[in-house]
Amino acid sequence: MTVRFDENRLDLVTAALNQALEMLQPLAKLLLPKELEPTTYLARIKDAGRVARSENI
Amino acid sequence: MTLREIAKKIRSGETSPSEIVRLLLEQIRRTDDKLQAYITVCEESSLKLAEAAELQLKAGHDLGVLHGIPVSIKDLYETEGIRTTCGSRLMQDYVPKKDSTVVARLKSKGAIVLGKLNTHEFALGAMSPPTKNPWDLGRIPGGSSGGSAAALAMGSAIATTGSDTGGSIRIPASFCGVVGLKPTYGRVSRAGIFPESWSLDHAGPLTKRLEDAALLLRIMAGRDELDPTSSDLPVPDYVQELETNIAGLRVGVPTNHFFEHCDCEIAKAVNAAVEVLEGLGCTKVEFEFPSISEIMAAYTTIDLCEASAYHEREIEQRAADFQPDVRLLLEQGLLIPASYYIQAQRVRAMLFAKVMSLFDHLDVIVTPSVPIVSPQVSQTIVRIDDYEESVDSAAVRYLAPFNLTGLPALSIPCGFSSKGLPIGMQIAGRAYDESTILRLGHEYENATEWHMRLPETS
Repeated sequence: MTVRFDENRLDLVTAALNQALEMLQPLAKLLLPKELEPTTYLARIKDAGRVARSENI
Repeated sequence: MTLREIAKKIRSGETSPSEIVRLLLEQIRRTDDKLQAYITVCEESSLKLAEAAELQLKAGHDLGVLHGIPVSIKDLYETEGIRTTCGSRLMQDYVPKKDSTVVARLKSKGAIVLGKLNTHEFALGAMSPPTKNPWDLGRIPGGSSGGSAAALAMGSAIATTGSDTGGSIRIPASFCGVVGLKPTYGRVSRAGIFPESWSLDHAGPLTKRLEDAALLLRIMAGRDELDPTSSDLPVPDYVQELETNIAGLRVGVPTNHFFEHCDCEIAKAVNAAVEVLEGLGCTKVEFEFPSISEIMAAYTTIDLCEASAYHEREIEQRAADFQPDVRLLLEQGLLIPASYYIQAQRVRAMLFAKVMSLFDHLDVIVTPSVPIVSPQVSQTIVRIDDYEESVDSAAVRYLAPFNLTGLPALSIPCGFSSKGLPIGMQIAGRAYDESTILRLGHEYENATEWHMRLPETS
């Protein structure tokens, strides 16, 4: 894939990207447990559906 | 009037599908030049289908409660033989050969497609230009399902669909004073709906009344072989379950994040709504929501990276055809490191476990939907006291955590600002427990009159 930015556009994209990366900093600083896998959320949502619902309270 | 009440009137002969379609077409003719909610109006086909529905009903062939009821569809959903543009120049001539699963399910119950509603381009934004807000035509309807909420508030639609990746159903619902429901991830098939971000996208209804959202969800939900992420869990009769009493439910009200940098009129309205819920027998439980700074970083990373991956070819070949704001987002997404994306998914797994454990002590979570009322059309930045941020950032701040966790959440009107603009309350619940948030919303709606107000422009 090739994406080209002309000089004016490069400035615009760089400024926006730097702003976004600043917002994403918490991800870079995280110390997550080694055993935490990235795809487990899908399985967790499916399992959660089988938990009893708060009916008839 | 609810959809069930309209259905009863059709069957008693007090009204007919043709009359309802004609009234809506007239309202579209009268208001849509200024509102610009519709991209396509199916005038001829909807009138023909309405006549056919009347004949079928007279012959005793009743497909169910939606038989002869017009529905308006977000233009991100594929509709057989009806142009589907995604609000984009890149798709201006695309006519799908088949319906998305949701549209097929609505049609199988007799619904008539009245038209296609505007969306922010490819759902990548909260403004939905050029659609306006019926409560003040100088303001935005929110987005990305802006056409859906605007048409409902204007009375030019009676049932609509939307999609929600970071709040795209609940933001316009809040800004336009209607009901918007984002079900659990997997509850409603996404097949045939153009993706913004596969793992964050949810399809759901926007309606005038809460009961209608329950009714539409019942029809839209359920396993679909065309969407491997759709759930095979049984789909409850949500309308019937609305009758279950809410007394005793534990209503969680977060003490952090969800009331921070929030318009004081909105915080006041939501706190007043919680008092109404207490009056209905619920118990207020204050709690702290986990990992907020990581949540917004993870949400933004996943959304940008997945959207950029989907549109990669078009960014390479037709970048200038995107709207400038959408193009810039997609270009950013191409440049975010892959390690950030993986970390974001790991944060998501951790967050889901933490949020689910909150529900050991709570039944629902109640927050403002959005910290601001609808901004002016020309506004890109909002200021709340000394805090300044983009409209898009303000719009998703309270809503995206429930996209990241996939938990069900709805927005329901809970007041008006001093300028007469709608305020929305978010109610979120356990995975696949849409019934409880719908019950709570229904009783709140019955106890208040916010849903009765109509914009002067309508």
